[in-house]
Amino acid sequence: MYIREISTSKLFAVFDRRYTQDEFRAACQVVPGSYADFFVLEMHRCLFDHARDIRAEYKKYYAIEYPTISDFLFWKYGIDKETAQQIASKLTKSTFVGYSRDTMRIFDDETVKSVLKEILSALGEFFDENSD
Amino acid sequence: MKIRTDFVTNSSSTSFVIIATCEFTEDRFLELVGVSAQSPLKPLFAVLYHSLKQNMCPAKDYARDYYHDVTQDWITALRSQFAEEVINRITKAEREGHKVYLGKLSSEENCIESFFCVDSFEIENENIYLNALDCAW
Repeated sequence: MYIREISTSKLFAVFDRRYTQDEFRAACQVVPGSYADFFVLEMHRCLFDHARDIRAEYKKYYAIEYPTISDFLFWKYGIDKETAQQIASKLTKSTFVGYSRDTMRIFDDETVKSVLKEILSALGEFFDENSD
Repeated sequence: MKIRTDFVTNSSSTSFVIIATCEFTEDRFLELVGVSAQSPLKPLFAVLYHSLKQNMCPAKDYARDYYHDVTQDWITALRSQFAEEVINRITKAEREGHKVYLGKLSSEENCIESFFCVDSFEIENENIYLNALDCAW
């Protein structure tokens, strides 16, 4: 997992895969229909539902134009080179790279990161001890 | 005159109302929002609970602090800020001896409080009523 909120409207997130709403909700263990459930749906929408799969986009439309995905992120999305390389370094064969312009602006918070880590651990996400 | 050349943003604070028939504890708050004891979201909503707890005060004190020149009764002063339905709830709760608290969340404290500060919501169960509809974002 790697999440980076850049400015107030750009979020980049790298996960092992795109988790479905049902499995994400189940892992959160909140009461269906409650306010916490609404919050969980917002998180899922932001990270997965409304996120554009930019790895797929790169492969389909831009792989000829940009030699690497970090070049693509730098030129197409205006991300600084260091962040672009960090994202690229997280990629494996099955990785989902989501881009959202409708971020909740909470994902840089350490409590939120640790909550998300626990949710995704329950869903089998791999966490590298050395990753941020 | 001041000229600012870098990124400029605005901050916000929004009011909330809590009416409780019992003590407003973390466990009761988590039950209100629907977070189970095993839920990974517990630490996140605990942050919200502590923000509410830290910023809430008895309605009467809030009204007197907020409207410095209250010459009328404090409930009347609150009418300029809250909807009639909320005022009716506050009046009824006061009459029945329930606890009524008012306060503000700020967008400047931490990411979690900021998110809930700009969200607009109203939740209740048999013990607690939480109104955070007065979102001025």
